[in-house]
Amino acid sequence: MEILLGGPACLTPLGPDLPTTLAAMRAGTSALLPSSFPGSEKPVHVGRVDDVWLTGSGRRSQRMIGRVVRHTLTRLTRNLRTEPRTCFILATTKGDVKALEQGRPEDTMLPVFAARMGAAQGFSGQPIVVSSACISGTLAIKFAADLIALGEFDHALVVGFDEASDFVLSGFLALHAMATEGCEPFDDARDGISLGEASASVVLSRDRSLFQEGAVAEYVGGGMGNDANHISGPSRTGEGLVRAVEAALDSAGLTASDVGHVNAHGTGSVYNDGMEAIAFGRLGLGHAPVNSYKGYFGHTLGTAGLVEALIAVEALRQGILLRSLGATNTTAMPDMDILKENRDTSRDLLLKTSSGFGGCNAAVLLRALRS
Amino acid sequence: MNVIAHSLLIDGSFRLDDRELLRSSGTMEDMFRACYKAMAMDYPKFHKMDAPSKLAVLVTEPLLQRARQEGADLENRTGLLGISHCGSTVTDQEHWDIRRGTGLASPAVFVYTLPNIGLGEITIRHRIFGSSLCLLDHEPKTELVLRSIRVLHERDRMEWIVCLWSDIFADRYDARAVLLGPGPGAPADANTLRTLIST
Repeated sequence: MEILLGGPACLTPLGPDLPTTLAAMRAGTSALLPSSFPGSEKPVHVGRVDDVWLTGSGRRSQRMIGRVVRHTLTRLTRNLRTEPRTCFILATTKGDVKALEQGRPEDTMLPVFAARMGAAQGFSGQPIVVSSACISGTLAIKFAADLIALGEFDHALVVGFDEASDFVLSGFLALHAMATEGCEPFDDARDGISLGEASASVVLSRDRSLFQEGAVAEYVGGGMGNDANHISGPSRTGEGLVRAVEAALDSAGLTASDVGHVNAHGTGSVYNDGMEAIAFGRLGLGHAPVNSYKGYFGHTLGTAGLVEALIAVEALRQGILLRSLGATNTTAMPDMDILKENRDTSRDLLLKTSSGFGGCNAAVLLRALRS
Repeated sequence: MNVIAHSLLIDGSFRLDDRELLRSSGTMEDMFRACYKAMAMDYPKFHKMDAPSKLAVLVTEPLLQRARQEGADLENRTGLLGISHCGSTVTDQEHWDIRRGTGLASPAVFVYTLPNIGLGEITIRHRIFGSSLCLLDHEPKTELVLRSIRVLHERDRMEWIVCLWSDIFADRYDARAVLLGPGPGAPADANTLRTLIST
């Protein structure tokens, strides 16, 4: 059964939509800017969405989500709000955690947040919240596709959202996990992560006619795996990621040699990127060009897997592999084809991977569809 | 899949199938310590966990011991489904109180400020490498539980699944868990799961 993705939309620190974001990335622009932060002696680099791109009223979270959902829904031939057998899946780690900073803890409950977001976008029923740390966005794609494949739904609106908040920034600073400057995933000198924020949305469906401008990708497979090792440190062997990718390949009936491009998690932390290099080596993915997008707009947490997958698909549709911004010297990872420059490609099979706190890992295989 | 065993840990009572293992009128922390002792757990890491993770580990402990006895392949063919309303809210508040009070943050607290960390602790304790899925909802709706079980079983080919509803808000805790597997037991249908998890 064919499961398609269409109507992709994103709002990132680089732009108010997917074309603008991708154009900035093709030009090698980074939105990571230094800003002072209480509790940090030095400025921290953060990728922030410009509020001038947000229209309407309501909470910033609602406006960030509203922008991408409206874009996605207007790219459909039918009104998804009234389409039967449709589910709304929200991927997020912290939702509107700024409400906690403002003294309203009850508004941070993710089901409460999701209900408000669903209602604000005109959907009846409670959205399904996927909240598995930094794999949430990738996992939400997989979960939506699985539910459609099982016949539970015909269509799924998948939305990702997370904001750069004091709550999260202070935590990563306490962990000494933040990069000295903008993060440099896969570079020999990488020294930490940079946080970002974004919202993104896409529709998964079995119905090709649902998409006004055609589907952008086909969902080919997906998998999950646990490190079972540590809640905040990646596996030294890459075990969970290896299992997630193997499960994805197995579900698709493919092998590592079929993968044309890997858009990795690539946070810029010493241990995460090292773990990924080990895992990709074990998986025999040395032939596949690898990049991370975190150097462009930071780690967008629960949105990361979704927004990065949508950008990577669009890049493949344009026949380009984006350089892994920040990766200049990669001698410590000689067996990986890390993209140091933009490169033309005719390949179409994307492997998107994500790893997160709790030792969770997810992988999806998406085949980019060129018009 | 069938229900192999089920457990419940709610405000002073810890039950496995139809037996009450423990009853206590103490605080939540007292209850967690008592459960830990009652199951003769020897796992020092437990004492470093936040309350939602302790709750998740405790209520699933007898089920995963049972799964091991039944010959379940915990490493490769066991999946976890965790659903919660509050998620990590109590720990979020603790992190934010520290941040507000001191201007700094505690890394030991911050790493628990995600709803899926309890599932992560379970995977570490029992060496579970398969699929785990963390969802948030107002209540443990049978429909969502059944759909998620189908994903883990039919798509991810998990032969054993632990379904967990766990919630902590203020000093109240409510955790219910079900072990599903191929052995003899009531079928894991809507009626059974509604009785064991949703009510």
